[in-house]
Amino acid sequence: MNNLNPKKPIDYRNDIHPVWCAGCGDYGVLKSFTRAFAKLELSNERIAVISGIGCSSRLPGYCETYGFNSVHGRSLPIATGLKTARPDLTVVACGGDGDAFAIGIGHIPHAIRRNPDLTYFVMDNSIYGLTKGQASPTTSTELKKMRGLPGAEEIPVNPALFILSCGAGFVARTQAGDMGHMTEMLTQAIQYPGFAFIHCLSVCVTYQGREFQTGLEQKIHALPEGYNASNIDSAFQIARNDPWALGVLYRRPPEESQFSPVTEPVDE
Amino acid sequence: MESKKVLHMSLVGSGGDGVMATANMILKTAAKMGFYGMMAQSYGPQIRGGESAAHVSIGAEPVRVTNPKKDLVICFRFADVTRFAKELSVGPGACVLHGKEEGELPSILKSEGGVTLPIPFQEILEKEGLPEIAKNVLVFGMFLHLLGWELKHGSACIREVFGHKSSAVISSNLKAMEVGFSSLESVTLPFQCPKPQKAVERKLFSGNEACARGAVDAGCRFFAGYPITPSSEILEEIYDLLPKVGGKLIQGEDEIASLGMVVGASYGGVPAMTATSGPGLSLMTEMLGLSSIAEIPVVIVDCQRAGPSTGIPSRTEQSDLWHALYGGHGDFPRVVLAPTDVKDCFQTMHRAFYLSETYQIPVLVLSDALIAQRLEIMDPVDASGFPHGKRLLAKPPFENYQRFDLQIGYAGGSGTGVNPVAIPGTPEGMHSIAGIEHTEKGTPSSDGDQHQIMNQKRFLKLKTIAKETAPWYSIQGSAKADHALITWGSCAGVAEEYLLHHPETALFVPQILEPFPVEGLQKFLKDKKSVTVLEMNHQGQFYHHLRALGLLDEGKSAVSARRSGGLPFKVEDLEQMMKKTMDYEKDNGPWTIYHGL
Ligand code: SF4
Repeated sequence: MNNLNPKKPIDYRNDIHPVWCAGCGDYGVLKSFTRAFAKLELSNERIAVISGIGCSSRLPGYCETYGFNSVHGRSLPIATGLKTARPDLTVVACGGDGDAFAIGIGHIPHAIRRNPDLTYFVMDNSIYGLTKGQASPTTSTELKKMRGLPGAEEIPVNPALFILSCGAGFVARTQAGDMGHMTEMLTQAIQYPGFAFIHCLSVCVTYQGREFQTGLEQKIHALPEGYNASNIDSAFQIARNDPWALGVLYRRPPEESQFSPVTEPVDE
Repeated sequence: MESKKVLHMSLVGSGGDGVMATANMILKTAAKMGFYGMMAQSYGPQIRGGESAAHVSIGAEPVRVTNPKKDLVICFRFADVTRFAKELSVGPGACVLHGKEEGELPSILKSEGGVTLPIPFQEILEKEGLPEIAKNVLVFGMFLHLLGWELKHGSACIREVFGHKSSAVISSNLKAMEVGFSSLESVTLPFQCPKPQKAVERKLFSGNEACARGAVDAGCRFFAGYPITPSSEILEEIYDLLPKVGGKLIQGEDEIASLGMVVGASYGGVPAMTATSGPGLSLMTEMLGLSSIAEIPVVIVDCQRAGPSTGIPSRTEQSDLWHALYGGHGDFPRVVLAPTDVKDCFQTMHRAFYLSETYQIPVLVLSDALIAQRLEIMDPVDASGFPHGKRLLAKPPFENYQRFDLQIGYAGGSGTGVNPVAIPGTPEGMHSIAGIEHTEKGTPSSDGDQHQIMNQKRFLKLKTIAKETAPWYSIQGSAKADHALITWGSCAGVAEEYLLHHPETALFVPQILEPFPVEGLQKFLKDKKSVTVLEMNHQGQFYHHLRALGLLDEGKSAVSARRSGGLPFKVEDLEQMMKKTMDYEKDNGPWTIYHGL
């Protein structure tokens, strides 16, 4: 093993300074990404991070890996195409709640149906940060009412429940304030052979405010003792009734993937 | 007795009559015997069954159109025939076969001095103990006799078509063919049919098949697409072809995802494409811009249908031109190619992949319903001389690698616009790219100067390409001809046919529309008195594009001859339009005006 010269998280960071506001949850995500890559000892050139548009989607630009900050909501098709062309790469798609559950939501069930070996990491701050504070598909009805945001009567999307019902084999929840946990979830998701989804509760300090973070910290908790992540019924129950439980909600035993890649061109 | 150079035939019937199957058998046999030929279909919006017509033309020389007056018509049912009144004009001296049970021949099928043959299909089938389903093979046999072909040619075709069925089915069909053949033994046509010059076996393809094969030939190894008429056969054909060469197809959930997956696969270094029709192209437009600014090669075939919106899926038009040339937000370079017929689809797809891979740019191929679903008998295409695109790869060791290095790509305006690319997986080449404007490294940037120079770099590619593609046009007719006819894409066929009878006109057809072969057209137009620009759309999109390029502003008559799609132009349409141009010129002198039909 290569333990004489272990990779450090910093090896996966380039020298570009993020544009994020001070205190943004996305810094924690970036750190966890680099930690997970280091833990898995991945070669930098074998990683590709594909994002959509939004504050969080700037993330690939700060990784010393291959990265593609594409267009709003389309990270999954691009990541799927890349994984098909290059099965040798570790492909991580990422973005925010608007990117994933507004414009991009139609792509999610289909990416899951194809089941490529991808990790999909969604940073959910329940607000549109980049366009300065409009409601997102996951903004709670209370917040919409309280702030006078449009669409107050609309019911928010429940990410974990939605993804579970689409049939994903790996569903986890984590939060930006706990990099240890997030790194662990990411490591497991990347190692999972097939489509793996991570719902990351993050905070937009600018448009949600720090009090939101405090409120979040009071609500979140670990999954119940002895929780069986291979039981789909328990996963559905937690996803529906306990949106603040963190950990691996569901992990199906990996199955033979039906997803076949482009192979070396052979002459006819 | 008149001897035909090209024989134009139509078969009309309802679902179950086997119209398309019969037409296919005629064309297959013709291809084996050394004929050239073409088959177009007319069908309504029915899902399955319903009325349909097949228009088959065969000749000893290459065939360009399938819509002149018919020499030979078989009508299974009269009930359906009026639907096709506009596509089915029976020529003088034509031979018309029809089901005897149907009664009196409707007036649109009557021909002057021709032969009408009522055939008692039911009676023959019953007498010979043949199943109802063999009716079309009976007709095939009749055709063989009328065309003066030998039975052995027909037998070979039957064996090929029914080869996978039981021997009882094959022999029943052979019998039906023979019965059909002998039932018309006493009949001779009032004209002579064409004969192939040599028995060289030729290939039979549709435009969509040709696009799929050309693409795989050219190195395409990934396809993602969403089914849409009239492009779906590309998806179907390439689904069969790709696994054989290690490639892969994904059927997308929509057109956005499809082009997204193509962008992703190509980002990974694999030549990739999609195919669609107008409504799908609209959805893809965002991804088109992305591939251009992120400099990821992609190929998109747009099989145009009559639009806008869902338009008429089964009818042809050339009205996506502006969308292909100008569609999208912001300024971004793209290449637009247009095949003129089925055979040309091979070369066009090779060119598309060559340009997209070499210049890291999106390439649109504007096919249309007329070419896409038409079958053509053609000479084999020798692709060995076609240039093969290779992506300019950045290889380690890297010294300060910048994906969009302006020193290399722009070089103060003397570069090619192309930068070496480190595709994911390349050691040391790590970088990120973005659909958002970016620095040389690929990092997002909102600097105005940066944007300006990046645009200049990206558009430099078109200048570089233009040098190479300057000769990508065809000129036909005499250099001394006074009148110029300009057209593009599938309209080239009817224009060539028109030229055969009009030596006073010369024809210019660009094979690339962006970057346009400007000098070629300027040289061509130099001594011409008048210009007609022929196209199939309502607004005269090509005409206006040429004006925007400043190519029609020489104080010369320039007429836009156009109409919406639906039915392909006929030579007579063109005659009428050209006459208008010339008459006006005679009476009024040079002018620049345009009119619709
Ligand atoms: S606006 Fe919110 S989400 Fe965006 S960078 Fe600032 S804190 Fe982060």
